Amino acid sequence: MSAPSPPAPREFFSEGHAHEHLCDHVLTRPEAHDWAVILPGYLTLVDPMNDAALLAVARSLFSSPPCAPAVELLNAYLQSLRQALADALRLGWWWEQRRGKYSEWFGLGLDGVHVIWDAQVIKTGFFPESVRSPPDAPPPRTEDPLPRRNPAERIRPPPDSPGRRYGLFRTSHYCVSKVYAAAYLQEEVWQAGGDVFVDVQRTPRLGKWQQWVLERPGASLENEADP
Amino acid sequence: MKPPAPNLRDQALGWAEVFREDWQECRDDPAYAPTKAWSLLAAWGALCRFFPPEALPAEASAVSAVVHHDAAALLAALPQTPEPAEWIERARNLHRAWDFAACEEVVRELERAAIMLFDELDRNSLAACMAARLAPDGATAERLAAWRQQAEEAEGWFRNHVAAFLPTALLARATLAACRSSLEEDEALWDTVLKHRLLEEAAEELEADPPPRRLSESDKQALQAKVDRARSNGLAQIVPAQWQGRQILVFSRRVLPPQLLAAAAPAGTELPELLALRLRSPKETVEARLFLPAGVAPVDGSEVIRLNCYDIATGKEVLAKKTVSLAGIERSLDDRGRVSFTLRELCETGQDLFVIIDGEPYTPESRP
Repeated sequence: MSAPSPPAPREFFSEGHAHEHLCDHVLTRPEAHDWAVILPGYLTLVDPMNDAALLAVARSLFSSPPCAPAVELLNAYLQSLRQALADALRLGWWWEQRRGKYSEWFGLGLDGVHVIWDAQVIKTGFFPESVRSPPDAPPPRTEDPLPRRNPAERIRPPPDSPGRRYGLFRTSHYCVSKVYAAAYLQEEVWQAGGDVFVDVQRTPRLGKWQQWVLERPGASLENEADP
Repeated sequence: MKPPAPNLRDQALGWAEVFREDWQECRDDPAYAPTKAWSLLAAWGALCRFFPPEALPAEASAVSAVVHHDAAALLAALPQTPEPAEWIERARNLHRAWDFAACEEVVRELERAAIMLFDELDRNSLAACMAARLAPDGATAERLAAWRQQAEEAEGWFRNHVAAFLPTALLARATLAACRSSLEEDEALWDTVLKHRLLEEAAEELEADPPPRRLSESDKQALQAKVDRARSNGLAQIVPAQWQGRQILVFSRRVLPPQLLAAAAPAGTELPELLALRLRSPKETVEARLFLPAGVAPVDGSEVIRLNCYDIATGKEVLAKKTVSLAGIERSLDDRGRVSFTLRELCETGQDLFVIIDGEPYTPESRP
């Protein structure tokens, strides 16, 4: 069996796609709260509890030029996707799914980011528990850059606690295991990097998780794994 | 490596143990206790679907012991989790979004959403079921009763919208298959798999419908020949025309007569299908799409013809407020790069379907 194809250097099909995914995940509540935990500097760039501030940053992505926080968040988002993919490949937390002749790879990073890529590009990355569905008939982004934010949805900001980062990983692992099971039963899973999505005992506990975060190539002991 | 098969019973055991540990660690933390209580109660319920509660596997004995020991704390924490009514709102969005899922990426995203929402619904119902079991003499506090009521309403909403969750039907079927044989005797828990059964039945009905027959190569060629003949007969035919002294290509006005012929057809209730004609700007940066009613639906001339302009690189609508001339009728694109005409207007001009946008003639694409 072949190893999963390494992604090409670019992360999305186009800059426009990257902007849309940044809006749909990093800047859309409630998922924004999760990104605020793992993206360095998020809280200094925009307050995830402030819908108007999130909207302003999102809106700037569809004007020229985007505001500085938008550019910084985009860079941090792309870096987190690369990190999730590297984790998935290093730990065997991925599977290849085929529909017809088209292959996609699904992986999970230690931060809980569920990343999806194909032979050309990283297609997306998100937190599967807090992601919101695409809306029906979305207006152009210039009119509504955050179409997945449902203003009627009651959002409780999650508790700010040291254990949250590990909690994000655990929740994502549960969700991704469900997605794997459904794909497997549909006979779409072609190969897998390991059995972490079927054997719950393989889920690292806090200590092991911290250790693996610290063992990331190039990890900084000061900045990483501070649950 | 060969993909490993999920074993739902083993996974239920594993998750129950994980959530027990989480609960024991966080039960005194008001920020985390509610979700941990919810997870543990749901996981315990899932275990009891697969194994008799009085004879849980040894690995799960600690789960049962903790649940009974901490019953009061679990019951107090559960109603503080997000209300199941919020699930209905998100499921409504999913249900609506299916109708607009036009590209593969969106379909796959909605499939994943269906899987996760179904799982959340199931966990809500399991948590509510097991909470009722822990409450002394069936008594529950008012908030817990309201929470359980909402869980039941969410199940009711699901029963009326099963099709939105079809992507998780195989997982639901596998869950049913893994249930213990005596589950039917446990009425409350049995009720929680009613939705799995509904999904299974809906999937079976779909499977029972014969799939569209695959075309043989000879059939394909015959069909293509028929399409080609139709084109040469006038459908979407492209013809040379003169515009401001220049020779350009345009769609023939003969694309219109079939619509008028259809007016003689018996009245029907079907909505007209759309025929999309594509044209490109001289620099090939913008694609204009002309949407016409097609098929045999009756027409009276008032049918709307839409023209939308898209940036070819990004797919976004462009050219807001620019002037458009279609078959000699002048309009302005709206602020989303769209404009409407009526079928009657186009027929009455007597001209072929020139498309001139912002002073530039657009060239028809021969592909559909």
